[in-house]
Amino acid sequence: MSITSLLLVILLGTVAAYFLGDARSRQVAKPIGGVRHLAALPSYYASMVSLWALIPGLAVVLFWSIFDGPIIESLVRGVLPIETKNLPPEQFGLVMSQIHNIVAGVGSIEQIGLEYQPAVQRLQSLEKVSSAWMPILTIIVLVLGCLMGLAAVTAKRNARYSVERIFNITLFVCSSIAIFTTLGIILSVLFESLRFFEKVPFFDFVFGTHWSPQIAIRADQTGASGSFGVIPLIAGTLLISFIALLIAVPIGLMSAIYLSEYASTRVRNIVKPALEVLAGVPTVVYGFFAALTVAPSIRHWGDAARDWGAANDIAWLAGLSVSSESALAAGIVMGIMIIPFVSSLSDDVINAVPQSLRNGSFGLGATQSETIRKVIFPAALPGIVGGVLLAASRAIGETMIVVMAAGLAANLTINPLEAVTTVTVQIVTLLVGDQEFDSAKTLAAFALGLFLFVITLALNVIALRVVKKYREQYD
Amino acid sequence: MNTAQKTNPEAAVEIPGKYQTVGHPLLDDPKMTVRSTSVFYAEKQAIFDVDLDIGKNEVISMIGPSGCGKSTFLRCLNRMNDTIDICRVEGDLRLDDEDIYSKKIDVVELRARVGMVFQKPNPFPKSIYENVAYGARIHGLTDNKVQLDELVEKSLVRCGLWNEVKDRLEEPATGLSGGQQQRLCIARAIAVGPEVILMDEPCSALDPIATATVEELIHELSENFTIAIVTHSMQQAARVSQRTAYFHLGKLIEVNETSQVFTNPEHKLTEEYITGRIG
Ligand SMILES: Nc1ncnc2c1ncn2[C@@H]1O[C@H](COP(=O)(O)OP(=O)(O)O)[C@@H](O)[C@H]1O
Ligand SMILES: [Mg+2]
Repeated sequence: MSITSLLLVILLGTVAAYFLGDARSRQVAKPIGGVRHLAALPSYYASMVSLWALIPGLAVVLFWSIFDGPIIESLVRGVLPIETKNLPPEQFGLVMSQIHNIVAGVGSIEQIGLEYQPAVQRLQSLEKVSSAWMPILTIIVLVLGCLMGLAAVTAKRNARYSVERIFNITLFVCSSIAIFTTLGIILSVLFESLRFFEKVPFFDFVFGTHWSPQIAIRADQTGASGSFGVIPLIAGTLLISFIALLIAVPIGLMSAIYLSEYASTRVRNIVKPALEVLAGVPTVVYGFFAALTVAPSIRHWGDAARDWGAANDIAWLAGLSVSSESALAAGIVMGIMIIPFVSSLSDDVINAVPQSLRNGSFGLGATQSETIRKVIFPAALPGIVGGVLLAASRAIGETMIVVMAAGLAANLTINPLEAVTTVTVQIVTLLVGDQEFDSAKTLAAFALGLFLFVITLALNVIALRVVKKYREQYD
Repeated sequence: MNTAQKTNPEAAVEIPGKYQTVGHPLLDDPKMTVRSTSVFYAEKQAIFDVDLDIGKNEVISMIGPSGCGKSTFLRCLNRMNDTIDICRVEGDLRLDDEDIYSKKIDVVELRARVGMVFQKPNPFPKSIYENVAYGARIHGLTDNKVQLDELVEKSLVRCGLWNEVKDRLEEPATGLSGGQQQRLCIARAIAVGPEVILMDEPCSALDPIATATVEELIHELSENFTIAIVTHSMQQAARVSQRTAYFHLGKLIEVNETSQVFTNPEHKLTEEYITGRIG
């Protein structure tokens, strides 16, 4: 019986337990004068019984699937020839997987040697036992749980509390899954990075100004020793993020001010959702917009300016060169992408400034723009800064637009018309395609990931702190 | 004095839009005059055809049950109602015989002449000094730092706050106690040099001791300013004001000398309110 159909059986059993519990509680209620004399409603008893059936059933399946493999393996190991047992782990693993293959019907025993015959037979019989007993045991446990649950249906027992507690535990487990997953990702990135720093010194990575992660694969290759200086990537990331913020902060802020202070309710109800649609456009769409529309037109205007400069003898203009992929194009489009972050967060904090402050200012004879500049903006500033920092961390982590529009060349430059590359883009290029998983090149991706994570985490922490401090001010 | 007396006050109140205020709503030499003034929030009428004069250097208090339109009426006097989208004011309102709703008037200048203090102290999240200097800065009342310092000091002294805050002018105003904050807001209003000060329940968020200080301050300010104060407390009205106006469901029912309103009200509704049967 496959896991899927077993889960289906468990589900059916749970539903059956629910109805049994419901019926049982009504039965209990009858002699004592009806449902209102029970400590809880029948639906609670029903839920309780179904949970009593569901949880042990699921637990059996879960533990069986986890421990089934290792236990069978250790039993099979017992009948292997002694010299096989002493093989190094990789070769031993190979043998084991060959045995598994044969049991599954791939290949034949003659290919690996008859001395493995007992192991194959052992594995075969164990797997048969396992797959026969798992469903049987599961169903037994399910039925037992259901019966115990039914026995627990008494007038005095308050099933509401049991259900409440189980609900509580379920929620707790779900939230811990999220936390532990994050923790797991961080730890794995951290350990892979440590492996990277065994191959490439930490300071070479952090302070190196040259990035070219090509490594000689064959000994006779030349000119590709690989260098892993992260500075050009950081510079590229910061350059693009800076351009993006240069676009997003003024536009986002001003539209927030317009929406919260000037716009009529009708306009606001149309414009605010429209702005937020910008946040819903998939980044890959922004990406090809940047690569196919914005970058070529920047190049086009750049060339036009150069020709005009050449015709009019303006030396610096005549020497202008615009690459077809540029930091400017990626930055502009990324800026448009993060406008809604800035505007909607700023809008929230501006709205949170109490109306009484506006009244106070108007009451002293201030105009609307004076009130905004001198009272509302300073009062909302910490919150706005928080919003901008969140937008910045979004910009730094953004990948798709830069992959498509900013190029791959790791130039260390502050000229926005040149191609640059960013941390995220390099992570992508390091990992796409076939890679060995322990070369410095692939491990570098983890180090970059860690670097990026630390930067955005720091930005987020600062942003949240600032926003929180601001909130406290008016509570 | 133009006295609007009438024979059957209750009957008059029952006819919507057509009633007469009892007592002495009008004066000979007023600072502000309000004539046939009605206020609407969208379709809903909040003030009905009010006639009232506010005298020079007098303190007039507005009393009445919650929602009767006291705040709405007060906000007409410096056009704070303009900041509420759905609010519409009809009628003729004058300050020193100048129509404050005419196209020619500059609202900003009007609000500098008719200052306002609100129910909840609302200091700006700036330093104490900057709060008081705010109005002077936006209206360009001083030419240099020395004059500004002087103005700030003078305003704080007048509000009896100077000794309490002179060593901490650069600290945030939000750190002051409620009563100090409210006096700061009054200092902020008088720093602009208004002629009239509107106060909307200025003590309702304060404890009794802070209330006493603010009342004393109002009393002192009445020497130089015209003050219109909305209050929920009849004792307060009795303590600080010369005249009292009683509002009921958006109508101005009675205006008389404060002592008369509280001892011998002319109108039945006023009497019911005073004796605690309405409100
Ligand atoms: N901003 C507003 N929008 C709509 N209706 C309002 C607004 N402010 C006050 N009102 C209405 O106008 C009436 C008078 O309110 P208000 O002047 O605040 O009364 P008071 O200050 O005497 O308690 C009330 O019925 C109130 O619901
Ligand atoms: Mg009010």
